[in-house]
Amino acid sequence: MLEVLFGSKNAERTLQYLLARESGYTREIADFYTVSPSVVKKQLDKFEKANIIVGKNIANIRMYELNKRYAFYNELTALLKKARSSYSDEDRMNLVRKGRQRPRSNKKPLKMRSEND
Amino acid sequence: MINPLDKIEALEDTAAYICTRLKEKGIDVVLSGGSCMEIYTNSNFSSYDIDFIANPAYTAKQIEKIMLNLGFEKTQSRYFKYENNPNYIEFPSGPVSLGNEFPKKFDELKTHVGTLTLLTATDCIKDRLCALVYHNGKECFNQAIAVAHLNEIDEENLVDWAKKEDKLMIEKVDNLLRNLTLLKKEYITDEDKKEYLKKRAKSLFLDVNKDSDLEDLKDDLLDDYVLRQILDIKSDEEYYSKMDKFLCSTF
Repeated sequence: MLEVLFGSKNAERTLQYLLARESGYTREIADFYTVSPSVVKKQLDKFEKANIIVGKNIANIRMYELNKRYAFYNELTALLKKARSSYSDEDRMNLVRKGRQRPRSNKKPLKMRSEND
Repeated sequence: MINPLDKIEALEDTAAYICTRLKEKGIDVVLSGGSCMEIYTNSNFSSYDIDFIANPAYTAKQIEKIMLNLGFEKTQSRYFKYENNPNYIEFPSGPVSLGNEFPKKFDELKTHVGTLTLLTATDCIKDRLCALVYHNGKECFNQAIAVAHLNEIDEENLVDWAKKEDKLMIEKVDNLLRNLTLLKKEYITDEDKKEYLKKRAKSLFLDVNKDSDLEDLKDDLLDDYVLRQILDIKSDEEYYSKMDKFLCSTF
């Protein structure tokens, strides 16, 4: 949708993910879109350098979010939201539906019933 | 030799089978957590986890021995799994606790493979609200409303319990009961629906008079149980179209 504007499909995806989920880290975003982490990392580095996103280190991962102090933050999010509303219902739901965030036993698989039924 | 577990797949049957076999060996366990909610709502909101709380008088070793005899394998992550059964069985440390309360009365569910001991519907709501307030499990509020909507519950007991927790819990219970009143209305008017959406928008700091905010509202309320009930949204496939239709005709 906005890939021409942002330079690549993965650039748009990276920003859409951070907008919908509020924050994210490289592997998480890469797993969501089933792309290589290096592809996502490249985009994250680019946006961080441009001050469009900000990152902080939590243990050994770097967590990113959109920079609310970016001069064009409102315009950027409006554009992303408009693009998101034109996605297929399925893609839109996958993006905005947040997964379980409660505590969970270490290494216990998380398989939802809805995935099968 | 065929293991009876090979013929069992459903959550309630698996849980009832394990509960009964453990009871036969003198070990009392109570089903808790998301799987309890699943049974009370007959839904598929949750994961394949079955969490049993055992009477603290029994050791993990005693339970493990019986589970292994039943054919389960114990994994390094402390849960038990039977190859041909989709569920993950875990025995978190007891006693059964719902915030500051230690329930003593449980419900029983009889199935063709045994009897399951589980939290009462009212206690299941408390369990979901604890997950919401203490573990930030945002999805649990919808689960709590679903249990309250589809089962007979003791509202007075719920309110008294919340008072012994904290201010936030009182707020959540109050909100839940208000939603329940709406859902139990014999006829839900368009005005009721509009009011509900306006309240939800306000709580999300969204303005229903702005188109861009309405788009956000649609995404933010995707899994809202009350909304899905009052707009008669039965599946994800009809969510956006029914929401669009209602929002267009209302705002």
